[in-house]
Amino acid sequence: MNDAQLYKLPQGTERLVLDEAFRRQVLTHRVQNLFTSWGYQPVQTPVFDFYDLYAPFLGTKSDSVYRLVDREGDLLVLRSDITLFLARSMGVVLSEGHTPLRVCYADTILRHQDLEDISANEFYQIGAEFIGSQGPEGDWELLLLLDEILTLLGLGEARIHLGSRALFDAAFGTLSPGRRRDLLKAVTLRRWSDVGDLASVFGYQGDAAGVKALGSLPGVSPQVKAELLALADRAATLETLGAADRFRVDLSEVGRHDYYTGLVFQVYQPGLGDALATGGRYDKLFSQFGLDSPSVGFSLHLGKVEHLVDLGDLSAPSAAPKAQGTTFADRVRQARILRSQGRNATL
Amino acid sequence: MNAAPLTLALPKGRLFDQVQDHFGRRGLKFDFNDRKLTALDESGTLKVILVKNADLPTYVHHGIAGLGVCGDDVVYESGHEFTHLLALAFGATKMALAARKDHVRDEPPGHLTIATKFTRFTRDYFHGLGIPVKIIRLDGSVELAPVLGLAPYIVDLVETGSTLKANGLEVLETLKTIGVNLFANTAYFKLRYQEIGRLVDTLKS
Repeated sequence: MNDAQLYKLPQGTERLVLDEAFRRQVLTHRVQNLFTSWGYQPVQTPVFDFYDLYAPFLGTKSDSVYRLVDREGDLLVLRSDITLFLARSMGVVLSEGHTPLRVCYADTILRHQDLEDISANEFYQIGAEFIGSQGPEGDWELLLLLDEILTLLGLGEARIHLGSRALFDAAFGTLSPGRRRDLLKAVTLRRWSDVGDLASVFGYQGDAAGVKALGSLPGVSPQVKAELLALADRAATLETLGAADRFRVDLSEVGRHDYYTGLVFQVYQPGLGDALATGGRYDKLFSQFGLDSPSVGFSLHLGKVEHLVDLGDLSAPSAAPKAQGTTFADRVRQARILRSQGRNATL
Repeated sequence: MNAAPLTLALPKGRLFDQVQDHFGRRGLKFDFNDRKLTALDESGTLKVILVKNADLPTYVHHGIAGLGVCGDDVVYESGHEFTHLLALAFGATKMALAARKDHVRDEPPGHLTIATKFTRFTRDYFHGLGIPVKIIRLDGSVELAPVLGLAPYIVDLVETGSTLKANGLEVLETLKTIGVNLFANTAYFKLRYQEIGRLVDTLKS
Protein backbone atom coordinates (compact mmCIF):
# COMPACT_ATOMS: atom_id res chain seq x y z
CA MET A 1 0.00 0.00 0.00
CA ASN A 2 1.13 3.53 -0.78
CA ASP A 3 1.37 5.21 2.64
CA ALA A 4 1.86 8.65 1.13
CA GLN A 5 -1.55 8.39 -0.55
CA LEU A 6 -3.21 6.79 2.44
CA TYR A 7 -2.73 9.83 4.66
CA LYS A 8 -3.34 12.47 2.04
CA LEU A 9 -6.65 13.81 0.77
CA PRO A 10 -6.84 14.79 -2.90
CA GLN A 11 -7.20 18.57 -3.20
CA GLY A 12 -10.81 19.60 -3.46
CA THR A 13 -12.32 16.90 -1.28
CA GLU A 14 -13.22 16.74 2.37
CA ARG A 15 -13.78 14.05 4.94
CA LEU A 16 -16.22 14.33 7.82
CA VAL A 17 -16.44 11.63 10.44
CA LEU A 18 -18.50 10.81 13.53
CA ASP A 19 -19.67 13.89 15.45
CA GLU A 20 -18.77 16.26 12.61
CA ALA A 21 -20.84 14.24 10.14
CA PHE A 22 -23.70 14.02 12.64
CA ARG A 23 -23.66 17.79 13.11
CA ARG A 24 -23.84 18.34 9.36
CA GLN A 25 -26.72 15.90 9.04
CA VAL A 26 -28.71 17.57 11.82
CA LEU A 27 -28.18 21.09 10.47
CA THR A 28 -28.99 20.04 6.91
CA HIS A 29 -32.18 18.43 8.14
CA ARG A 30 -33.20 21.55 10.04
CA VAL A 31 -32.62 23.81 7.05
CA GLN A 32 -34.41 21.38 4.76
CA ASN A 33 -37.43 21.40 7.05
CA LEU A 34 -37.45 25.17 6.77
CA PHE A 35 -37.26 24.94 2.96
CA THR A 36 -40.21 22.56 3.00
CA SER A 37 -42.25 24.93 5.15
CA TRP A 38 -41.62 27.66 2.57
CA GLY A 39 -42.77 25.40 -0.26
CA TYR A 40 -39.33 24.59 -1.73
CA GLN A 41 -38.94 21.18 -3.36
CA PRO A 42 -35.66 19.27 -3.28
CA VAL A 43 -33.64 18.64 -6.43
CA GLN A 44 -30.48 16.64 -7.01
CA THR A 45 -28.06 17.49 -9.75
CA PRO A 46 -25.65 15.06 -11.48
CA VAL A 47 -22.12 14.76 -10.15
CA PHE A 48 -20.65 15.31 -13.60
CA ASP A 49 -21.81 16.63 -16.94
CA PHE A 50 -20.43 17.66 -20.33
CA TYR A 51 -17.77 20.32 -19.90
CA ASP A 52 -18.59 22.27 -23.07
CA LEU A 53 -22.06 23.17 -21.77
CA TYR A 54 -20.54 25.03 -18.83
CA ALA A 55 -17.33 26.38 -20.31
CA PRO A 56 -18.88 29.76 -21.28
CA PHE A 57 -19.96 30.39 -17.68
CA LEU A 58 -16.85 29.34 -15.80
CA GLY A 59 -14.65 32.35 -16.62
CA THR A 60 -11.51 32.37 -14.51
CA LYS A 61 -12.99 29.55 -12.41
CA SER A 62 -12.26 27.12 -15.24
CA ASP A 63 -8.78 26.77 -13.69
CA SER A 64 -10.20 25.14 -10.60
CA VAL A 65 -12.68 22.62 -12.03
CA TYR A 66 -11.92 18.93 -12.38
CA ARG A 67 -12.24 17.56 -15.88
CA LEU A 68 -12.24 13.97 -17.08
CA VAL A 69 -12.87 12.04 -20.28
CA ASP A 70 -15.65 9.46 -20.46
CA ARG A 71 -15.57 6.18 -22.38
CA GLU A 72 -16.95 7.81 -25.52
CA GLY A 73 -14.21 10.42 -25.45
CA ASP A 74 -16.42 13.31 -24.30
CA LEU A 75 -14.92 15.83 -21.94
CA LEU A 76 -16.75 15.95 -18.60
CA VAL A 77 -16.65 18.36 -15.68
CA LEU A 78 -17.29 17.46 -12.06
CA ARG A 79 -20.01 19.54 -10.37
CA SER A 80 -18.28 22.76 -9.36
CA ASP A 81 -21.25 25.14 -9.13
CA ILE A 82 -24.67 23.86 -8.20
CA THR A 83 -26.55 26.83 -9.71
CA LEU A 84 -25.07 26.06 -13.14
CA PHE A 85 -25.76 22.34 -12.90
CA LEU A 86 -29.27 23.05 -11.69
CA ALA A 87 -29.97 25.49 -14.52
CA ARG A 88 -28.88 22.90 -17.06
CA SER A 89 -30.87 20.05 -15.42
CA MET A 90 -34.04 22.04 -14.91
CA GLY A 91 -33.73 24.07 -18.11
CA VAL A 92 -33.94 20.93 -20.21
CA VAL A 93 -36.73 19.27 -18.23
CA LEU A 94 -39.04 22.18 -17.51
CA SER A 95 -41.18 24.28 -19.78
CA GLU A 96 -42.72 27.64 -19.05
CA GLY A 97 -45.91 25.97 -17.79
CA HIS A 98 -43.96 24.56 -14.83
CA THR A 99 -42.86 27.90 -13.46
CA PRO A 100 -42.84 29.57 -11.03
CA LEU A 101 -41.07 26.78 -9.21
CA ARG A 102 -39.30 26.82 -5.88
CA VAL A 103 -36.41 24.36 -5.48
CA CYS A 104 -33.75 23.67 -2.88
CA TYR A 105 -30.64 21.51 -2.61
CA ALA A 106 -27.96 20.30 -0.24
CA ASP A 107 -24.99 18.88 -2.08
CA THR A 108 -21.25 18.78 -2.41
CA ILE A 109 -19.24 20.49 -5.09
CA LEU A 110 -15.79 19.47 -6.25
CA ARG A 111 -13.15 21.88 -7.31
CA HIS A 112 -9.48 22.38 -6.78
CA GLN A 113 -8.31 24.55 -3.93
CA ASP A 114 -4.76 25.47 -3.12
CA LEU A 115 -3.18 23.59 -0.28
CA GLU A 116 -3.32 26.66 1.98
CA ASP A 117 -6.95 27.21 1.14
CA ILE A 118 -8.41 23.92 2.26
CA SER A 119 -9.94 25.61 5.29
CA ALA A 120 -12.20 27.58 2.96
CA ASN A 121 -14.92 24.98 3.57
CA GLU A 122 -16.77 25.56 0.36
CA PHE A 123 -17.44 21.98 -0.63
CA TYR A 124 -20.86 21.55 0.92
CA GLN A 125 -23.55 23.92 -0.20
CA ILE A 126 -27.14 24.26 0.82
CA GLY A 127 -29.29 26.59 -1.20
CA ALA A 128 -32.56 27.58 -2.81
CA GLU A 129 -33.69 28.94 -6.16
CA PHE A 130 -36.92 30.54 -7.20
CA ILE A 131 -37.24 29.73 -10.91
CA GLY A 132 -39.60 31.92 -12.90
CA SER A 133 -39.65 34.63 -10.26
CA GLN A 134 -40.21 38.07 -11.71
CA GLY A 135 -40.00 41.42 -10.04
CA PRO A 136 -39.08 42.40 -6.53
CA GLU A 137 -41.25 39.86 -4.70
CA GLY A 138 -38.98 36.98 -5.74
CA ASP A 139 -35.92 38.88 -4.49
CA TRP A 140 -37.64 39.63 -1.21
CA GLU A 141 -38.80 36.04 -0.77
CA LEU A 142 -35.32 34.56 -1.24
CA LEU A 143 -33.70 37.10 1.03
CA LEU A 144 -36.27 36.68 3.78
CA LEU A 145 -35.80 32.91 3.50
CA LEU A 146 -32.05 33.37 3.85
CA ASP A 147 -32.61 35.69 6.81
CA GLU A 148 -34.72 33.00 8.47
CA ILE A 149 -32.05 30.34 7.88
CA LEU A 150 -29.45 32.55 9.54
CA THR A 151 -31.79 33.02 12.49
CA LEU A 152 -32.45 29.26 12.62
CA LEU A 153 -28.69 28.63 12.77
CA GLY A 154 -28.39 31.17 15.59
CA LEU A 155 -26.25 33.54 13.52
CA GLY A 156 -27.69 36.78 14.87
CA GLU A 157 -24.56 38.73 13.99
CA ALA A 158 -24.52 37.68 10.34
CA ARG A 159 -25.15 40.56 7.93
CA ILE A 160 -26.58 40.35 4.42
CA HIS A 161 -24.94 42.90 2.12
CA LEU A 162 -27.06 43.94 -0.85
CA GLY A 163 -25.61 45.21 -4.09
CA SER A 164 -26.52 45.11 -7.74
CA ARG A 165 -24.92 43.72 -10.88
CA ALA A 166 -27.52 45.67 -12.87
CA LEU A 167 -26.13 48.88 -11.37
CA PHE A 168 -22.62 47.91 -12.47
CA ASP A 169 -23.91 47.06 -15.96
CA ALA A 170 -25.80 50.37 -16.18
CA ALA A 171 -22.59 52.21 -15.34
CA PHE A 172 -20.04 50.19 -17.33
CA GLY A 173 -22.02 47.91 -19.67
CA THR A 174 -20.68 49.51 -22.83
CA LEU A 175 -17.00 48.92 -22.03
CA SER A 176 -14.94 46.05 -23.44
CA PRO A 177 -15.11 42.70 -21.61
CA GLY A 178 -11.50 43.08 -20.42
CA ARG A 179 -12.08 46.55 -19.01
CA ARG A 180 -15.30 45.39 -17.33
CA ARG A 181 -13.44 42.52 -15.69
CA ASP A 182 -10.81 44.92 -14.35
CA LEU A 183 -13.49 47.27 -13.04
CA LEU A 184 -15.41 44.46 -11.35
CA LYS A 185 -12.28 43.59 -9.45
CA ALA A 186 -11.50 47.23 -8.67
CA VAL A 187 -15.01 47.78 -7.25
CA THR A 188 -14.94 44.53 -5.26
CA LEU A 189 -11.54 45.32 -3.75
CA ARG A 190 -12.36 49.03 -3.37
CA ARG A 191 -9.47 50.27 -5.50
CA TRP A 192 -11.24 53.54 -6.13
CA SER A 193 -8.51 55.24 -8.09
CA ASP A 194 -9.26 52.74 -10.89
CA VAL A 195 -13.01 53.33 -10.85
CA GLY A 196 -13.22 57.03 -11.68
CA ASP A 197 -16.20 59.35 -11.18
CA LEU A 198 -18.56 56.72 -9.83
CA ALA A 199 -16.26 55.71 -6.95
CA SER A 200 -18.47 57.55 -4.46
CA VAL A 201 -21.49 55.57 -5.68
CA PHE A 202 -19.88 52.11 -5.59
CA GLY A 203 -18.14 52.89 -2.30
CA TYR A 204 -21.44 53.45 -0.54
CA GLN A 205 -22.41 51.31 2.44
CA GLY A 206 -25.48 52.13 4.45
CA ASP A 207 -29.25 51.90 4.22
CA ALA A 208 -32.07 52.25 1.71
CA ALA A 209 -32.56 55.97 2.33
CA GLY A 210 -28.87 56.66 1.72
CA VAL A 211 -28.76 54.77 -1.57
CA LYS A 212 -31.79 56.67 -2.82
CA ALA A 213 -30.00 59.95 -2.13
CA LEU A 214 -27.04 58.85 -4.30
CA GLY A 215 -29.31 59.17 -7.35
CA SER A 216 -29.03 62.94 -7.21
CA LEU A 217 -25.21 63.05 -7.22
CA PRO A 218 -23.68 64.87 -10.20
CA GLY A 219 -22.46 62.56 -12.95
CA VAL A 220 -25.07 59.87 -12.25
CA SER A 221 -26.77 58.86 -15.52
CA PRO A 222 -30.54 58.19 -15.70
CA GLN A 223 -29.81 54.44 -16.11
CA VAL A 224 -27.61 54.36 -13.01
CA LYS A 225 -30.17 56.39 -11.10
CA ALA A 226 -32.94 53.93 -12.07
CA GLU A 227 -30.88 51.01 -10.71
CA LEU A 228 -30.10 52.90 -7.50
CA LEU A 229 -33.81 53.52 -6.96
CA ALA A 230 -34.62 49.87 -7.71
CA LEU A 231 -32.09 48.74 -5.13
CA ALA A 232 -33.32 51.30 -2.59
CA ASP A 233 -36.81 49.89 -3.06
CA ARG A 234 -35.59 46.31 -2.49
CA ALA A 235 -33.63 47.31 0.60
CA ALA A 236 -36.40 49.43 2.17
CA THR A 237 -38.82 46.49 2.25
CA LEU A 238 -36.17 44.12 3.64
CA GLU A 239 -35.26 46.58 6.38
CA THR A 240 -38.91 46.47 7.47
CA LEU A 241 -39.54 42.72 7.15
CA GLY A 242 -36.19 41.10 8.01
CA ALA A 243 -34.43 40.53 11.33
CA ALA A 244 -33.17 43.72 13.00
CA ASP A 245 -30.01 45.12 11.36
CA ARG A 246 -29.71 42.07 9.12
CA PHE A 247 -29.63 43.93 5.80
CA ARG A 248 -27.16 46.54 4.58
CA VAL A 249 -26.78 48.18 1.23
CA ASP A 250 -23.20 47.78 -0.01
CA LEU A 251 -22.66 48.89 -3.60
CA SER A 252 -19.21 47.30 -3.81
CA GLU A 253 -21.13 44.00 -4.01
CA VAL A 254 -21.37 43.31 -7.72
CA GLY A 255 -21.64 39.50 -7.71
CA ARG A 256 -18.95 36.86 -8.06
CA HIS A 257 -20.42 35.32 -11.22
CA ASP A 258 -21.00 36.87 -14.59
CA TYR A 259 -24.41 35.21 -14.87
CA TYR A 260 -25.92 37.63 -12.36
CA THR A 261 -28.16 40.27 -13.89
CA GLY A 262 -29.80 42.13 -11.01
CA LEU A 263 -29.74 42.19 -7.23
CA VAL A 264 -26.74 40.40 -5.69
CA PHE A 265 -25.91 39.68 -2.07
CA GLN A 266 -23.33 38.14 0.22
CA VAL A 267 -23.52 37.18 3.88
CA TYR A 268 -20.74 37.97 6.34
CA GLN A 269 -20.30 36.59 9.83
CA PRO A 270 -17.78 37.85 12.42
CA GLY A 271 -14.80 35.52 12.65
CA LEU A 272 -15.10 34.17 9.10
CA GLY A 273 -12.52 35.27 6.54
CA ASP A 274 -14.91 35.02 3.60
CA ALA A 275 -18.61 35.27 2.74
CA LEU A 276 -20.76 32.57 4.26
CA ALA A 277 -23.47 32.70 1.58
CA THR A 278 -23.78 34.29 -1.85
CA GLY A 279 -26.60 34.80 -4.25
CA GLY A 280 -28.49 37.00 -6.62
CA ARG A 281 -30.79 37.29 -9.61
CA TYR A 282 -29.87 35.65 -12.91
CA ASP A 283 -32.57 36.29 -15.44
CA LYS A 284 -30.72 34.98 -18.49
CA LEU A 285 -29.02 31.82 -17.22
CA PHE A 286 -31.86 29.35 -17.70
CA SER A 287 -32.48 30.56 -21.23
CA GLN A 288 -28.99 29.29 -22.12
CA PHE A 289 -30.32 25.81 -21.31
CA GLY A 290 -33.68 26.05 -23.03
CA LEU A 291 -35.99 27.66 -20.46
CA ASP A 292 -36.57 31.39 -20.75
CA SER A 293 -37.15 32.05 -17.10
CA PRO A 294 -35.93 34.80 -14.75
CA SER A 295 -34.65 33.36 -11.48
CA VAL A 296 -33.10 34.24 -8.17
CA GLY A 297 -31.20 32.03 -5.76
CA PHE A 298 -28.53 31.65 -3.12
CA SER A 299 -26.15 29.06 -1.75
CA LEU A 300 -24.79 28.84 1.75
CA HIS A 301 -21.50 27.18 2.70
CA LEU A 302 -22.73 25.26 5.70
CA GLY A 303 -19.23 23.95 6.47
CA LYS A 304 -18.07 27.43 7.35
CA VAL A 305 -20.50 27.80 10.25
CA GLU A 306 -21.20 24.29 11.50
CA HIS A 307 -18.78 24.79 14.36
CA LEU A 308 -20.57 27.99 15.45
CA VAL A 309 -24.02 26.47 15.75
CA ASP A 310 -25.39 25.35 19.08
CA LEU A 311 -27.30 22.09 18.58
CA GLY A 312 -29.19 22.61 21.84
CA ASP A 313 -29.99 19.58 24.01
CA LEU A 314 -29.81 17.14 21.12
CA SER A 315 -27.72 14.15 22.18
CA ALA A 316 -25.19 12.88 19.71
CA PRO A 317 -25.20 9.14 18.91
CA SER A 318 -21.63 8.95 20.21
CA ALA A 319 -23.01 9.66 23.70
CA ALA A 320 -25.68 6.94 23.54
CA PRO A 321 -25.47 4.78 26.69
CA LYS A 322 -25.55 1.01 26.63
CA ALA A 323 -28.96 -0.44 27.58
CA GLN A 324 -29.01 -2.28 30.90
CA GLY A 325 -29.80 -5.98 31.15
CA THR A 326 -28.14 -9.31 31.82
CA THR A 327 -28.99 -10.91 28.50
CA PHE A 328 -29.01 -9.55 24.98
CA ALA A 329 -32.81 -9.91 24.86
CA ASP A 330 -33.12 -7.84 28.10
CA ARG A 331 -31.00 -5.11 26.59
CA VAL A 332 -33.13 -5.07 23.40
CA ARG A 333 -36.28 -4.60 25.52
CA GLN A 334 -34.68 -1.91 27.68
CA ALA A 335 -33.33 -0.08 24.61
CA ARG A 336 -36.79 -0.12 23.00
CA ILE A 337 -38.21 1.55 26.12
CA LEU A 338 -35.49 4.21 26.13
CA ARG A 339 -35.92 4.94 22.42
CA SER A 340 -39.70 5.21 22.79
CA GLN A 341 -38.96 7.97 25.31
CA GLY A 342 -36.91 9.77 22.71
CA ARG A 343 -33.54 8.73 24.17
CA ASN A 344 -30.61 7.01 22.48
CA ALA A 345 -29.33 3.57 23.44
CA THR A 346 -26.90 0.99 22.11
CA LEU A 347 -27.17 -2.71 22.60
CA MET B 1 -20.50 43.13 18.43
CA ASN B 2 -17.97 45.79 17.45
CA ALA B 3 -16.61 46.58 20.89
CA ALA B 4 -13.49 44.48 20.30
CA PRO B 5 -10.42 46.33 18.95
CA LEU B 6 -9.58 46.06 15.26
CA THR B 7 -6.87 43.47 14.61
CA LEU B 8 -3.87 44.51 12.55
CA ALA B 9 -0.98 42.32 11.39
CA LEU B 10 2.38 44.06 10.97
CA PRO B 11 5.51 42.57 9.44
CA LYS B 12 8.67 42.06 11.47
CA GLY B 13 11.70 43.59 9.89
CA ARG B 14 12.50 46.68 7.86
CA LEU B 15 8.99 48.11 7.74
CA PHE B 16 8.02 47.71 11.36
CA ASP B 17 9.78 50.77 12.79
CA GLN B 18 8.37 53.01 10.08
CA VAL B 19 4.83 51.72 10.62
CA GLN B 20 5.15 52.07 14.39
CA ASP B 21 6.36 55.63 13.98
CA HIS B 22 3.67 56.56 11.43
CA PHE B 23 0.87 55.16 13.61
CA GLY B 24 2.40 56.59 16.83
CA ARG B 25 2.46 60.13 15.46
CA ARG B 26 -1.28 59.82 14.82
CA GLY B 27 -2.14 58.78 18.35
CA LEU B 28 -1.94 55.00 17.85
CA LYS B 29 0.98 54.08 20.09
CA PHE B 30 1.98 50.48 20.69
CA ASP B 31 5.04 48.61 21.91
CA PHE B 32 6.06 44.99 21.98
CA ASN B 33 7.53 44.19 25.37
CA ASP B 34 8.95 40.96 26.76
CA ARG B 35 9.26 39.37 23.32
CA LYS B 36 5.47 39.28 23.03
CA LEU B 37 4.03 39.11 19.52
CA THR B 38 0.72 40.85 20.25
CA ALA B 39 0.09 44.30 21.71
CA LEU B 40 -2.84 46.64 22.28
CA ASP B 41 -2.43 50.29 21.37
CA GLU B 42 -2.85 52.86 24.15
CA SER B 43 -6.29 53.98 22.93
CA GLY B 44 -7.59 50.40 22.73
CA THR B 45 -8.45 50.83 19.03
CA LEU B 46 -6.03 48.30 17.66
CA LYS B 47 -4.77 44.87 18.57
CA VAL B 48 -1.47 44.53 16.75
CA ILE B 49 -0.01 41.16 15.82
CA LEU B 50 3.60 40.84 14.74
CA VAL B 51 4.21 38.20 12.06
CA LYS B 52 6.81 37.23 9.51
CA ASN B 53 6.49 39.33 6.36
CA ALA B 54 5.70 36.45 4.01
CA ASP B 55 3.11 34.99 6.41
CA LEU B 56 1.20 38.23 6.79
CA PRO B 57 -1.22 37.75 3.86
CA THR B 58 -2.09 34.27 5.16
CA TYR B 59 -3.17 35.68 8.54
CA VAL B 60 -5.30 38.35 6.89
CA HIS B 61 -6.73 35.96 4.27
CA HIS B 62 -8.03 33.68 7.00
CA GLY B 63 -9.39 36.62 8.99
CA ILE B 64 -7.12 35.95 11.99
CA ALA B 65 -6.00 39.54 11.57
CA GLY B 66 -8.60 41.74 9.94
CA LEU B 67 -6.11 44.32 8.67
CA GLY B 68 -2.54 44.17 7.45
CA VAL B 69 0.31 46.38 6.34
CA CYS B 70 2.94 45.13 3.92
CA GLY B 71 4.45 45.64 0.50
CA ASP B 72 2.69 44.89 -2.80
CA ASP B 73 5.33 42.27 -3.50
CA VAL B 74 4.36 40.14 -0.51
CA VAL B 75 0.64 40.33 -1.28
CA TYR B 76 1.26 39.47 -4.94
CA GLU B 77 3.32 36.40 -4.08
CA SER B 78 0.61 35.17 -1.71
CA GLY B 79 -1.95 35.10 -4.52
CA HIS B 80 -4.61 36.46 -2.14
CA GLU B 81 -6.71 39.54 -2.80
CA PHE B 82 -7.70 42.11 -0.23
CA THR B 83 -9.71 45.27 0.16
CA HIS B 84 -7.40 48.16 -0.48
CA LEU B 85 -7.55 50.86 2.19
CA LEU B 86 -4.59 53.20 2.02
CA ALA B 87 -1.23 53.59 0.29
CA LEU B 88 1.36 54.54 2.91
CA ALA B 89 3.95 57.15 2.11
CA PHE B 90 7.00 55.17 3.15
CA GLY B 91 8.85 51.97 2.42
CA ALA B 92 8.49 52.19 -1.36
CA THR B 93 11.03 50.20 -3.31
CA LYS B 94 11.53 48.77 -6.78
CA MET B 95 11.33 45.30 -8.29
CA ALA B 96 14.18 45.08 -10.75
CA LEU B 97 15.83 42.73 -13.22
CA ALA B 98 19.58 42.61 -12.63
CA ALA B 99 22.64 40.81 -13.98
CA ARG B 100 26.43 40.95 -13.78
CA LYS B 101 27.87 44.17 -15.16
CA ASP B 102 29.91 42.22 -17.66
CA HIS B 103 27.11 39.83 -18.58
CA VAL B 104 26.58 38.85 -22.20
CA ARG B 105 23.25 37.39 -23.27
CA ASP B 106 24.32 33.93 -24.35
CA GLU B 107 21.25 31.76 -23.66
CA PRO B 108 19.57 30.52 -26.84
CA PRO B 109 16.32 32.35 -27.80
CA GLY B 110 13.32 31.13 -25.80
CA HIS B 111 15.44 30.61 -22.71
CA LEU B 112 15.68 33.15 -19.93
CA THR B 113 16.85 31.81 -16.59
CA ILE B 114 16.08 33.95 -13.57
CA ALA B 115 16.79 33.31 -9.91
CA THR B 116 14.34 35.00 -7.57
CA LYS B 117 12.38 34.89 -4.37
CA PHE B 118 9.44 36.43 -6.25
CA THR B 119 8.50 33.50 -8.46
CA ARG B 120 4.87 34.40 -9.05
CA PHE B 121 5.61 38.00 -9.95
CA THR B 122 8.49 37.01 -12.23
CA ARG B 123 6.50 34.36 -14.06
CA ASP B 124 3.46 36.63 -14.56
CA TYR B 125 5.56 39.63 -15.57
CA PHE B 126 7.54 37.86 -18.29
CA HIS B 127 4.63 35.74 -19.47
CA GLY B 128 2.68 39.01 -19.78
CA LEU B 129 5.38 40.16 -22.21
CA GLY B 130 5.22 36.87 -24.08
CA ILE B 131 8.65 35.76 -22.86
CA PRO B 132 9.04 32.18 -21.52
CA VAL B 133 11.18 32.03 -18.39
CA LYS B 134 12.89 29.35 -16.39
CA ILE B 135 12.70 30.28 -12.71
CA ILE B 136 14.99 29.11 -9.95
CA ARG B 137 13.50 29.79 -6.57
CA LEU B 138 15.80 31.14 -3.86
CA ASP B 139 14.92 32.38 -0.38
CA GLY B 140 17.68 34.93 0.15
CA SER B 141 21.03 36.35 -0.99
CA VAL B 142 19.74 36.20 -4.53
CA GLU B 143 22.70 38.33 -5.70
CA LEU B 144 24.90 35.27 -5.38
CA ALA B 145 23.14 33.46 -8.23
CA PRO B 146 24.77 35.36 -11.15
CA VAL B 147 28.06 35.62 -9.31
CA LEU B 148 28.32 31.87 -8.80
CA GLY B 149 26.75 30.92 -12.11
CA LEU B 150 23.41 29.53 -10.92
CA ALA B 151 21.45 31.87 -13.19
CA PRO B 152 22.50 34.81 -15.36
CA TYR B 153 19.62 37.02 -14.17
CA ILE B 154 17.86 37.83 -10.92
CA VAL B 155 14.61 39.59 -10.07
CA ASP B 156 14.76 41.21 -6.66
CA LEU B 157 13.79 44.26 -4.62
CA VAL B 158 16.29 47.07 -5.00
CA GLU B 159 16.39 50.04 -2.64
CA THR B 160 19.76 51.76 -2.90
CA GLY B 161 21.44 49.27 -5.20
CA SER B 162 24.47 49.03 -2.94
CA THR B 163 24.20 45.24 -2.47
CA LEU B 164 24.05 44.78 -6.22
CA LYS B 165 27.02 47.04 -6.70
CA ALA B 166 29.07 45.27 -4.05
CA ASN B 167 28.55 42.01 -5.94
CA GLY B 168 29.37 43.42 -9.36
CA LEU B 169 25.73 43.46 -10.53
CA GLU B 170 23.66 46.18 -12.16
CA VAL B 171 19.97 46.87 -12.72
CA LEU B 172 18.99 46.15 -16.32
CA GLU B 173 15.41 47.26 -15.93
CA THR B 174 12.99 48.40 -13.24
CA LEU B 175 9.95 46.15 -13.55
CA LYS B 176 7.59 47.67 -11.00
CA THR B 177 7.44 50.21 -8.19
CA ILE B 178 6.48 48.45 -4.98
CA GLY B 179 4.43 50.42 -2.46
CA VAL B 180 3.40 49.71 1.11
CA ASN B 181 -0.34 49.48 1.73
CA LEU B 182 -2.86 49.12 4.50
CA PHE B 183 -5.44 46.54 3.44
CA ALA B 184 -8.25 44.49 4.91
CA ASN B 185 -9.70 41.03 4.68
CA THR B 186 -12.74 41.72 2.50
CA ALA B 187 -15.27 40.06 4.80
CA TYR B 188 -13.80 41.80 7.85
CA PHE B 189 -14.05 45.16 6.13
CA LYS B 190 -17.69 44.54 5.31
CA LEU B 191 -18.59 43.98 8.94
CA ARG B 192 -16.53 46.79 10.45
CA TYR B 193 -16.32 49.36 7.70
CA GLN B 194 -17.27 52.29 9.92
CA GLU B 195 -14.48 51.74 12.45
CA ILE B 196 -12.04 50.93 9.66
CA GLY B 197 -13.08 54.11 7.85
CA ARG B 198 -12.29 56.14 10.97
CA LEU B 199 -8.91 54.43 11.31
CA VAL B 200 -8.07 55.20 7.67
CA ASP B 201 -9.04 58.86 8.19
CA THR B 202 -6.76 59.03 11.22
CA LEU B 203 -3.87 57.50 9.29
CA LYS B 204 -4.37 59.83 6.33
CA SER B 205 -4.07 62.96 8.48
